[in-house]
Amino acid sequence: MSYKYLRPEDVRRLESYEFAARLLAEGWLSGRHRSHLRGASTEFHEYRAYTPGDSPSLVDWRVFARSDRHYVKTFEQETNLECHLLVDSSSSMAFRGGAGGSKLEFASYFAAALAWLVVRGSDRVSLQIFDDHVREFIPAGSTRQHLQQILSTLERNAPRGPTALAAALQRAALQIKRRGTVIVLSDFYDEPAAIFTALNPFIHRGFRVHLFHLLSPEEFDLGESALSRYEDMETSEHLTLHPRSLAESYRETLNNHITRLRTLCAQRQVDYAVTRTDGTFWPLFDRIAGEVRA
Amino acid sequence: MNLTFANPAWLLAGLALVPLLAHLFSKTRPRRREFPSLKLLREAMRQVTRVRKPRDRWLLIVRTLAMLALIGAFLQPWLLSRFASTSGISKTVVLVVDVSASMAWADGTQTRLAQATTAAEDVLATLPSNSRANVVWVRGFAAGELPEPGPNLDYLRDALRKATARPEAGDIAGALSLALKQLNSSDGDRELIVISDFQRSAWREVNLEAPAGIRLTRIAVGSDDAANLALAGLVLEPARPVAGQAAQIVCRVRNFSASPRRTTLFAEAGESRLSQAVEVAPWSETLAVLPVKFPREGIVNMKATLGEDAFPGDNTRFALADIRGALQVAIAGPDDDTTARTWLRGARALDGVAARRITPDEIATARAEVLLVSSWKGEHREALAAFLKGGGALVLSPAEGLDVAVAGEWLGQTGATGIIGVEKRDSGWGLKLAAEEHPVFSLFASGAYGDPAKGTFRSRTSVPLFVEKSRPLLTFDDGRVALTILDYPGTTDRPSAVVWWNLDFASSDWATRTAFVPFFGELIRHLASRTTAPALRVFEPGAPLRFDAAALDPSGVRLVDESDKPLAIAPENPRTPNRLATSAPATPGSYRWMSQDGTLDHAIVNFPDTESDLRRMTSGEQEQAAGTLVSTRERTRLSDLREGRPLWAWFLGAAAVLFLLEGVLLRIFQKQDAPALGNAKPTEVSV
Repeated sequence: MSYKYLRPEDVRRLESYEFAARLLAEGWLSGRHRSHLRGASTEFHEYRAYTPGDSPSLVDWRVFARSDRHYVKTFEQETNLECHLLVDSSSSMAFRGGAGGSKLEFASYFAAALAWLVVRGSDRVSLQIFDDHVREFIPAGSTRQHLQQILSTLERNAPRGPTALAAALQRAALQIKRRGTVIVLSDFYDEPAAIFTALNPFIHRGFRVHLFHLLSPEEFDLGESALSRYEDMETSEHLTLHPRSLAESYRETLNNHITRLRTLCAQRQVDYAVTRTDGTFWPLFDRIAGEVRA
Repeated sequence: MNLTFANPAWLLAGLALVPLLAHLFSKTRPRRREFPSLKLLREAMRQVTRVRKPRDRWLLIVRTLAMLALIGAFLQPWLLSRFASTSGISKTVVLVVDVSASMAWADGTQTRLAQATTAAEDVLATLPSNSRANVVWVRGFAAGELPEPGPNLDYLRDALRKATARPEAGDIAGALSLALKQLNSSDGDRELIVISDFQRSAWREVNLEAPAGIRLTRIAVGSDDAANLALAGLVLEPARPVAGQAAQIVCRVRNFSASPRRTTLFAEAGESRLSQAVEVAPWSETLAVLPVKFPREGIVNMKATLGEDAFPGDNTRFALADIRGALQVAIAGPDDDTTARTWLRGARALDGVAARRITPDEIATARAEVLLVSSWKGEHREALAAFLKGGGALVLSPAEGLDVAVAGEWLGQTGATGIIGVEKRDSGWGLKLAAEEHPVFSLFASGAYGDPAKGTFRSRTSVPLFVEKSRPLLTFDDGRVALTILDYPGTTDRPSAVVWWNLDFASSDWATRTAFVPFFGELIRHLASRTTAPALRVFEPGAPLRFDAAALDPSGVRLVDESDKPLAIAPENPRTPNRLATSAPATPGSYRWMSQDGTLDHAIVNFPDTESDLRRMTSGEQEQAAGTLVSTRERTRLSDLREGRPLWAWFLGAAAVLFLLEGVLLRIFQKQDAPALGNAKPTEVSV
């Protein structure tokens, strides 16, 4: 059975992706990882402040009685990790803008490949497709059927609706129970501060977060067009302008936006990468691998 | 200024440009493009708009102006002067050009007259070829260069070039009247153009108005910066001094400037040469007094001159001095008349008085300044009247039997009747001063010369004497008039004095009193001072000098100026060959009518006082006056404007410059944009 977003050549490359295999074998996403979840056979790790999404059963009520504050008691436990894929499927992700496919296609190819790699390593992977809310959610699983379900969902998925990344992330956090790695694939047309407010539950719960900012070539320089009427793909608003005369200012504005995201990521120890959709997604694997090694 | 279009039809053709303008200024239909989010675009646009909007505005302004200039060029506009004829309508213009003395003032390198004639020539140059024009000169006697406006403009231009400022006051009203008269008899487009410095002292009271149908234009020349020092007066005091008597030359120097001025005054009077430094405060005058004494009687030329300044015309002034010899007193009356004898004795006791007895027949030809007639019974009234009209003073002592009514009628007195008799009183009547303040009594104010009213009269005339229009000097102690002065009505400009003498020496000790001779002397001198000097011939500048040769042979009469240079003279009228006049208008100077026998008469001409104040009418006064005022700046452009100037080339040039400017602006803006685009690098993708 063939899937649109899991191409044979990608599978062949993933199979021969020794580096990734080694990483997986050494527990990049699975095994031998210190988990900060409570478990019977685990050792006490530390207290930490309660954050939304934590199970109330984990709250140490004795500490609450003494300090009137909610603290969660954490333990160390060796367990397989989970990989949570969050794919932005709002209308803006349908933009192609130059060579290559749309941003959503790029995100789907990457998500399919990563899901295949995770399942192949017997680790668990979940998928959330969102626009301004979570449209599809496939809980974490590590079976082949589970992978097929993810691939089918990606294939069925079509871009629509407006983006509300912060709101979608807040809702996604409520559905993810176990700590793991969160990978967000989006064009991030939202306020950076709001995005990170929504990411706080993941960060406080010890999730490793990767933000992959997908931009088509035309989103970098507006292209070399004459006077154009730009129509917002999400709101149908329009703006008439000469891209040549606005290119420099737009580039500065985009850079500022990216810089703000990058600065906030650095502050919160969140991985962040901007990538062009006219290239391949393989450098993203290298980036993940590099971080793990580090 | 008028603006007209040679091709007004192009205004309609300009409508064809509307689509072009619409094309230029309308927005191009943009290509529709989808974009993920306009959020960043809007933010970028906000930044760019702040920079670009002024640029677009400048470009819009430049492009609009360029298009307007291009349209203007196609319309072929013409700029015409106010004097230009727009459609070949015949035009009649009378130029009233001021050539009075003030026009000789030089504002910098050019006199006001030169500016005026240049302006007049400019006006003539702007007239269409079928126009008629004339020049009327504002001078002592206003006159037109042509009898009526004519087409020979070259002749007028030549006359303007030859015009000189005249040392005379202008007959403004006469010139305007003449100009309007000539325009009224013309038809078509009529214009009266007055070109003058509009000297305030001359033009302030002028009612400058033009009737309906005649356009009035005033062209003001000159500037207000005209400081002048003038010799405004030259007189001798006393007016008729006796030879050898100390006199004073009094000169009036006026400063027409805002700063004090110093100068030196030079005066010549007969053989005397005098000078004096004079300092005059701003906008005021001062009197310079120079003592002088004339050794001989006769007419003496006087001349005073100020130091040289920028307006020399009014720096010199001329006058004639009538220096007389001894005071001539004639006494008529019966040989045995006590009054006459006493008068003669008294007169001979006076210094500087030559007294003589004359017979009644000599009264008419008596060459005397004071004539005393005793025992007058009303006879020789015609001879006495002739004497009085000749300027002499008369003292009449009435005789018994004189009809007061007859005498009163002759002297212009009414109400008195009766025949004069004599009334006597043993105790007599004393005298009283009736007018102590009268100059005759000023000598006696100190008391050193006695009391002139001291004396007793035992007889006097029985009829009350005239009181009407008389000024009694002495009265009897009962109030009856004893001595009074009447004005003889026969003379016009200055009435002669008649003294009514009702003081009988025969019945009085008055003549033996010490005060009598001084009183008699003061009375005689007072009467002599009232006598009219021989008419000295003073002429206004601009008028011809006239002389009535009377019985003389006119061919032997000549007129010479101060330096004995002869002037052209001719009979004023062929029917009166003895009435001679100069051919040219008189200019300031001193002149003598001569014959083989010597000097027949003198004449002097002085610079007109009104022309010395060179201030012009204020701008407010100028604005209030009728007609259109043309400024000096506008006037200087008249020659440039001529028949109008085509402006299409200027419009075309302006359009070219504006399009060039648009290109430069675009290039500048592109250069400003270029570094930003050139340095733009694709955003680094850090993965």
